[in-house]
Amino acid sequence: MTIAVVAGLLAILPFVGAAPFTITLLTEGLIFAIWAMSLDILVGYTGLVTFGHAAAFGLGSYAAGFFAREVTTDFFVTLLFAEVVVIAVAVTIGFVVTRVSGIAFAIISLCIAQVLFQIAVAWRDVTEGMDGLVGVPLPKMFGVTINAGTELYLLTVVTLAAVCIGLRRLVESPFGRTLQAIRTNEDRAAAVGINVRLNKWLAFIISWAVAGVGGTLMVFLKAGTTPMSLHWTESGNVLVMTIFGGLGTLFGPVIGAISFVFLRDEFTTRFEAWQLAFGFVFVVVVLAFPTGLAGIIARVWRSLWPVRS
Amino acid sequence: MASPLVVRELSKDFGALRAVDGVSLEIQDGQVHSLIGPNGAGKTTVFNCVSGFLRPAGGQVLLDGLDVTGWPAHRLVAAGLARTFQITKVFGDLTVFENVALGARSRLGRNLQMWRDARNVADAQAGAEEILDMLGLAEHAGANADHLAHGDKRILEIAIALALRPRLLMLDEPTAGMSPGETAHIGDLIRRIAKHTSVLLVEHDMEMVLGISDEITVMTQGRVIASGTPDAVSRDPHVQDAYLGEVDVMNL
Amino acid sequence: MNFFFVSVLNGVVYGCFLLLTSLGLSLVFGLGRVVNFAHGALYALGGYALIVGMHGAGAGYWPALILAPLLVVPVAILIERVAIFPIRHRPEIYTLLVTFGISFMIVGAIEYAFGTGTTLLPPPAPFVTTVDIFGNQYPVYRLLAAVVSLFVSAGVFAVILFTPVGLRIRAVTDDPGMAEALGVNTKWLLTLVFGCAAGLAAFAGALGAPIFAVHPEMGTNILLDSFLAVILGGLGNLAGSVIGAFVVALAKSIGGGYVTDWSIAVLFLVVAIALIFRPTGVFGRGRVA
Repeated sequence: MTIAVVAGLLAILPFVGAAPFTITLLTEGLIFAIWAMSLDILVGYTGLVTFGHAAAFGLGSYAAGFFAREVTTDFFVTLLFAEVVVIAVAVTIGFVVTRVSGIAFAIISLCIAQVLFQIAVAWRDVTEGMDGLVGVPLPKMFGVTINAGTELYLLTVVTLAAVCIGLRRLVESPFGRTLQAIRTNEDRAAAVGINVRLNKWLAFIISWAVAGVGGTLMVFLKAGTTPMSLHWTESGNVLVMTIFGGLGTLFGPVIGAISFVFLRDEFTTRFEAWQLAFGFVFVVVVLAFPTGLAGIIARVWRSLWPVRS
Repeated sequence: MASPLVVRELSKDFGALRAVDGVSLEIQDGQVHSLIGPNGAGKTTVFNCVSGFLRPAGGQVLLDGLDVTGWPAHRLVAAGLARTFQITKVFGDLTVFENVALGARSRLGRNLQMWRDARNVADAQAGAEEILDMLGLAEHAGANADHLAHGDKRILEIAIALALRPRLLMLDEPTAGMSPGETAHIGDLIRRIAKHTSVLLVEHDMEMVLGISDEITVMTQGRVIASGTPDAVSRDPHVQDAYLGEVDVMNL
Repeated sequence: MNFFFVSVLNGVVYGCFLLLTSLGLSLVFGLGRVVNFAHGALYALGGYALIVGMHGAGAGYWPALILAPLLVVPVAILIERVAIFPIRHRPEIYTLLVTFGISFMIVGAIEYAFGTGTTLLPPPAPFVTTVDIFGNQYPVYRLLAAVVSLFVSAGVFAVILFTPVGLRIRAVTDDPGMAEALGVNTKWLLTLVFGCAAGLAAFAGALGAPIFAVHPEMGTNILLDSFLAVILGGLGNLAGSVIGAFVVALAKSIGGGYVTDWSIAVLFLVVAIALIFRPTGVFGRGRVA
């Protein structure tokens, strides 16, 4: 319900005078939000910190971009193709990496993402190397072209809402609780009969699949992608957005992603130290507010409207 | 009917150290069977090998007549074995209720469901409520497990295990860090549980072990040195040696 | 043949150089289980400290090279005290996140103070020339940098193996609980080692400036290469890191010469697989997870 209201409010923004530039920026923020939520499933709910989540997003971009250029620009077919590729890779990689946890998982996921990055650089026939895929055409839906700007923005809002609803259901389901149990203590989870590896594997695949949706939208927004979309520093960025927004909350990462995009825009136009400011805020959040922005908002909310009992 | 648990010639090495060396034991239906011995005797290693947290180097584990040697922990749970941990490992940031409900859903094979609200798995909810009532934790149901007092956390450990409706319940030092009053409470609880579930107990509190056990197996240095009723075991000269030996070492 | 020879030589030189950053990374991990993602940024800071010394203070290259780590060590000690020490009891993954944020801050601060441009530094005067090695003209400074790196790394090993501080570091790395019980002050030991490791990285950044040039993101690749070296060698295992450093460096330079970027993809793949199936490292026994 809340999701529908928020999505509705977002959807009318272009018609109440929001500047085209703001809309484009917001589109990017909402796409990042999808990506950050997918990361929250892994990091916030399952407790698997990854420095390789750019791989899922970038792979979705490459697959969708390649397909849109070579085969068809139909949004649904392109998305389907991208998802098949992303899920196939996630099934393979996930099977192996979910054998481990903690630091080992973080570093291995980083290494594997770098493998994809290097492949994107080296496999020039398909990826066009360092130049990346350029000139990806706009998507079509039911034969009608989705134009850049408002139309692509609305598509993003609808997709984000669908992802929100789906993931909200997921984390409230028995499976979602299972993941939280694994995050809290893998041994204890195994002792209540949870197949830890299987569940981590499923979480990994779901997380990648959702990130692939974001990657697909992004390749249409940017009309292309480069290997940098797979680079581990991008993985770091999405981790920053997610933690900044608040792990294990789903709505936190949405706020985190949107503020990331706008803060970055604000800082880079004003002065050059945006990394300094953002790094500082991030460190403070990790050190002092492990629940992120979402936690701070929740606290303020409760102090304004205390629950009477 | 097969015994709930039979362990035959179990062994386990850590590097050059043989931590468990040919341990056998058998638990009868509806009994409390205690495994005792001085520190480093290998009790916890036996415990971990049986419950699937360590892979035994040799020997056999039969659960209800089924050979489950080397099975991973989650399959053993499905086969009817539940355990608690010596160091409390409750799901700290979930509620007390959710801790137990996880166990209840697990027994029903519901933990993989992705498209329904966890709170709507009715039989699991009911099962969890029943167990919390039985163990006197109902008033804390909505609290985060982290916020429980130490003694209540230990009881929650048992509650989670019971929610799995096991054939065999394995308790690893359930009274660790508890006051004498709380210990007595746990002792009563174990006797009540034993009416419908066999219990394998690892415990240091000798008074309690002698009070509630039907059978006791004594280990030192990775081997079984005695096995029998509490009376027989406490009169066994080997056992007295082992425990006097430990006291000597501790006084040094 | 000549091309191959130069590739190997480049690899050996880079391997020596990589020792400076890998040893510090490995030491800090072994001692405090800290995965330091800011190591590359501290390396970059060393490069800029050199520039400050030379252009700002007007020092010559060599004094500035000595000065660079001395400027960076206090920064690193501050980082350890303020951001790492307070979270030592939290899961290890937190130090990874915090140091990642700190690397953001350092790179941001560098860009703020010096801009995003690249600064090229010529090697100090007598070493601008090349030398003839089996018919190949090879820059003298690279050979010099390799030799200096080797000596400094040997010094690190000497400290670890033969001094009382080294003994304490080894004790804590082996078994932190036991070492603490025996009265080793682990709190300040990590601060000290973190500072020294950063000093080594900064020294590397300054030493490598005439070879690799100085720019804000210069630490990114070094960080990754050092990580690979340290993981291959077994996290926390110093001797393993040495082998790891040379394997990474040679694979990059030889592979890079022949099969371009695929070699690095393979390298990452090998490391990932190695970590999963041999968490203790390929060449040595360390500890992960």
